[in-house]
Amino acid sequence: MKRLLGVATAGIMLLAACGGSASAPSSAPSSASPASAAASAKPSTAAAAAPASSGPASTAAAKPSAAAPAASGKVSITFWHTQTGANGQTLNAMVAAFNASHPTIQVNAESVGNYNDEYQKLLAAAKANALPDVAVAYENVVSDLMKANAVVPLDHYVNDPQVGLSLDSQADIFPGFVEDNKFKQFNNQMLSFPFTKSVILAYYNTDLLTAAGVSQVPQTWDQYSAAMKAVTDYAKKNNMPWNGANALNDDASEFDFEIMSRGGQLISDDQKKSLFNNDAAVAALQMNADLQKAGAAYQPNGFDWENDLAAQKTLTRLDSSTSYAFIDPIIAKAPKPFKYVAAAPPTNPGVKLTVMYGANIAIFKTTPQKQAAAWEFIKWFTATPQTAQWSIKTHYLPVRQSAATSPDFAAALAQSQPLKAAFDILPYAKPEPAAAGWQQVRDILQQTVDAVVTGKAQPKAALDDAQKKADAALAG
Amino acid sequence: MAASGLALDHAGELKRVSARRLRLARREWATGYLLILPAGVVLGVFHIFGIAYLVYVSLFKWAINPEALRGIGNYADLAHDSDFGLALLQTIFFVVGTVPFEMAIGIALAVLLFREIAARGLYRVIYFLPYVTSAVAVGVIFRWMFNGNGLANGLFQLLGLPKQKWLLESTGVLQLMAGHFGWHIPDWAGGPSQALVAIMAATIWSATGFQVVLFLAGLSTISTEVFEAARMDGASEWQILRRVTLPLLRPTVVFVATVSTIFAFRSFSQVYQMSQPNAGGPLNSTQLATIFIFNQFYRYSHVGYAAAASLIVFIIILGLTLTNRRRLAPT
Amino acid sequence: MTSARRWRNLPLHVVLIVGCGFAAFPFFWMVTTSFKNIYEATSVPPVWFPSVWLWGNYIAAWNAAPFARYFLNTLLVGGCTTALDLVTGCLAGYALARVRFPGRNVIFFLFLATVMIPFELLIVPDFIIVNRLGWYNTYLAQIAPFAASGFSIFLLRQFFAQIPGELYEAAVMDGAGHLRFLWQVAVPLSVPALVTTALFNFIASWNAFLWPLIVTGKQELRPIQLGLSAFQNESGTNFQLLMAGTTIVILPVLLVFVLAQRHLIEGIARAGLKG
Repeated sequence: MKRLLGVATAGIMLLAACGGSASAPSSAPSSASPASAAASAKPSTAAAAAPASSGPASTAAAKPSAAAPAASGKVSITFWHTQTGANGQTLNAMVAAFNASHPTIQVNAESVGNYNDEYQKLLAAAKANALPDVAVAYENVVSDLMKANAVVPLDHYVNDPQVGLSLDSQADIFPGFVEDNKFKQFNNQMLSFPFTKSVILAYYNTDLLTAAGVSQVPQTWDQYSAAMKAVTDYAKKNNMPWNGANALNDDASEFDFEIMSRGGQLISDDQKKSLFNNDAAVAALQMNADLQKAGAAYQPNGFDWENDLAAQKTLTRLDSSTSYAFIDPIIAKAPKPFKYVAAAPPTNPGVKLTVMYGANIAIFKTTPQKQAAAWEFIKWFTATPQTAQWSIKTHYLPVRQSAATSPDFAAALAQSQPLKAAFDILPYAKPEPAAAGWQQVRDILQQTVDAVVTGKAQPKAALDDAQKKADAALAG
Repeated sequence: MAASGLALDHAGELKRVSARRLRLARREWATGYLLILPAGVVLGVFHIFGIAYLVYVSLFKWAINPEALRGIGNYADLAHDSDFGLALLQTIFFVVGTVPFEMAIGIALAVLLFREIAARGLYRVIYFLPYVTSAVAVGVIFRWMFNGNGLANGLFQLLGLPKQKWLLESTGVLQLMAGHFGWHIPDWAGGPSQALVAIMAATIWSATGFQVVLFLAGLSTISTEVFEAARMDGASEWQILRRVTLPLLRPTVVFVATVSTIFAFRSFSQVYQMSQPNAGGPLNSTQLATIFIFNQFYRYSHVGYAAAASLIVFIIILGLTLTNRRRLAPT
Repeated sequence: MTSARRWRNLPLHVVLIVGCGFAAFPFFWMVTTSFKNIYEATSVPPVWFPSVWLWGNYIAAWNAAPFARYFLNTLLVGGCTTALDLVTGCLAGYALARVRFPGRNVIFFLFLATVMIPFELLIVPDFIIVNRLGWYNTYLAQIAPFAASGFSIFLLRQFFAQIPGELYEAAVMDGAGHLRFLWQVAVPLSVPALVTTALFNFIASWNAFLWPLIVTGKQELRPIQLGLSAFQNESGTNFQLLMAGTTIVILPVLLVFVLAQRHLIEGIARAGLKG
């Protein structure tokens, strides 16, 4: 008995030692309830004669507030993001700059893994009432959290006469980004703000194109198809180790792009029915299947395409504009260096289009003070000088058209061809649908592409099947 | 007669006994409960409560908050979900295709590494390397090895076989092998996809170290006198293995079999890593039950549905374990 | 050992060495890749050895995340978890193997059932509890859920059950109860099982990723696996740095295993049994 007591005591002491050593007073999200801080005044937001677009707001915003920010000092907010490595360091530096220039606000940036990891953390935090104040999130995550009444709609802040954006400033943001962050299923409210955006570009090994006799970078799908075959013939004739001209990207975003660039639609306006089972989709699938069969395209595994491109075993790839940061160092070390170009991806004749990737940033319901502070951070981060700087350092795209007026950015555009290509097509970038259940539809679309290019299904039949499944996913 | 009462005898049966025996028995009960209390508290709070929570969630349509009470609606939908059925089938392929091999190799290696041979310690460390390599690293390395121009295909070409697509191949291996000889097998009889088989190979590779350590520990409980007696009787090594070692190893074998099967049903990290960038592998052919559940949970936010699916898998595993409960009873 | 016996063992060694090739090859590839440049690291067909051995990769990997701090954190959390798990596992495993009390089998299967649910599914309810207790951003949150495990209890139970009954009866005749028997006889006899349990627990702690991610926000509390995520990105993987980082992370565990495996050896001479 005594022994047991001894062991138990030791165990408890051990537990206490382990636990006590670092229970830091967490500035971290722990149950700050919106109502409790209503007393401390929040400058100006309340005075907004804003359109009644705040939705289910418990932000106490309607209260006309008296004067100044509390003399108690800084407002401290927590910011979750997924940036690592060099980009993470850039972000930390910018956060530090914000903190230095905004003495009443302290932003604590926390890196929380990749997007999957972050979603799990957000989900757990949402249930435990421990959400951060502001976080990076994709549209479907924002949508889920909005359904759980945790997201603060931004229209209120954007349109506020004192802390908001002027009409010119609002128009300065690329229209695609604005569309991306307005959620149809929530009365078209703007629930998030663009943050780390990129677009689809087509990367081509131009030396190879020229050698194969293709005089210019393909701009239409017909030219593209012909170029793939021409370069493949050239490669075979010269006995090059060859995987296929196009390193097929079977991701749903690329497929969505192919459909839209051929004039097809994806989803109905009420977001309840899929519309992708159309001629454009059949044509896209047919082209990819034909190219695959002719040896002019192949399916790489994950990021292998980057090395394949550098080794000149493939000609081209449709991928994100951020990829050039990764292929540059690989190509630099390749045995036979070559020139490549990032171009606007091919479309039907006369169409200018691309699809955007990347995450946005959203504010969660906490206290009016913290929400206002979060908005200040977002506003600052997406202001012209900062968004230009972010883009230059991280290869994401600036959020505003006026970034071009920044001398550093103009210089970067002159030096980096991919950045210029992305920036030039940005006015024509469209978002993918942000409907409930769309993530499931994306997986269905990807499997459709896989099934067709591996010869297991015919395009029309595969699309019929996909439509049935997609409608079920969108319905419920 | 003075007070008597019920207590458990040696066979675990309740019997009427004298007061003194009763007092002793009750004290033993108290000791027992006290000893399991610490573990019970931790497991109760962090596991049992969690399972109860899952049961509750599974009754609803739920993304972050409960949206609609569905009762057994989620379970009914799962019964009709062909993707879930496929996931279960693929999980069974996975379990059957990994556990027996892991155990056979594990026992063999443990027996070999138990003997007094030179560099025994070094061998053990090398054979344990796979187990300590993290799932991410294993996934990344094996994806590279199973690349179209990678090691596995290099080996195949050496053997005169054509290059395979491995992790991109959704066709069943039986179909592929039959196709090699010119026969045709229907889709449903195709067996696990080549992608899944590649993942199974990686799993067997990394889990074997785990088994070896457990069997080594089991072997070390067998007293050396038993071995020496058998050798003095003139038994060959093989006979010793069959007649002495394996039977004495039975509790360990039961343990390893049970635990390996449970872990195989629960396999996630490595399979997930090797299925990237697809959520479930080529045409969902590497989507095991846990990956199906994960996708429903975190990709599609069908949290109630995922909870129901996880409970179904849980019940399957529990059922399998309970059918073996006699073997699990203490000797 | 006589030289004749050495030669007899030769075929055995051949088999083992071939097997070693299979077991060690990925590790070998991981280490050689950690010295390559980014092109060679992802090259297919493979480049076996780097043209230039880039030791700088290890420095870059080490600097990419506060690995020194992460190491300390992982050691602390791993050490506490292992110690606690051993204690709770021994107590419960012994009770389930040798102490008679009603409901013993039900409790055993209940404990075993906790092994059947992957921990990933319990993240949300566990986080709710941890947060309610105010343990967010602490070491305690990383340790507490693993202070006991069905796996350890099951393992130790199997081993304790194998101890011959005669030993217990002898102890009872000497006036000992279960607890003294456990402490003085059962535990010393089960050193291989204890070492094994501690080893697996330590490794599990070392590989922990998701739960520490969920319960910590501050860098200073994070364990090692979270450091490796610095090398993976949405647009690519810094392959050679990831391999360098992984090698750094594996070495301590290997060291622990080298030390531990010496206890997984010969059978125990039961000399005292008949006496």
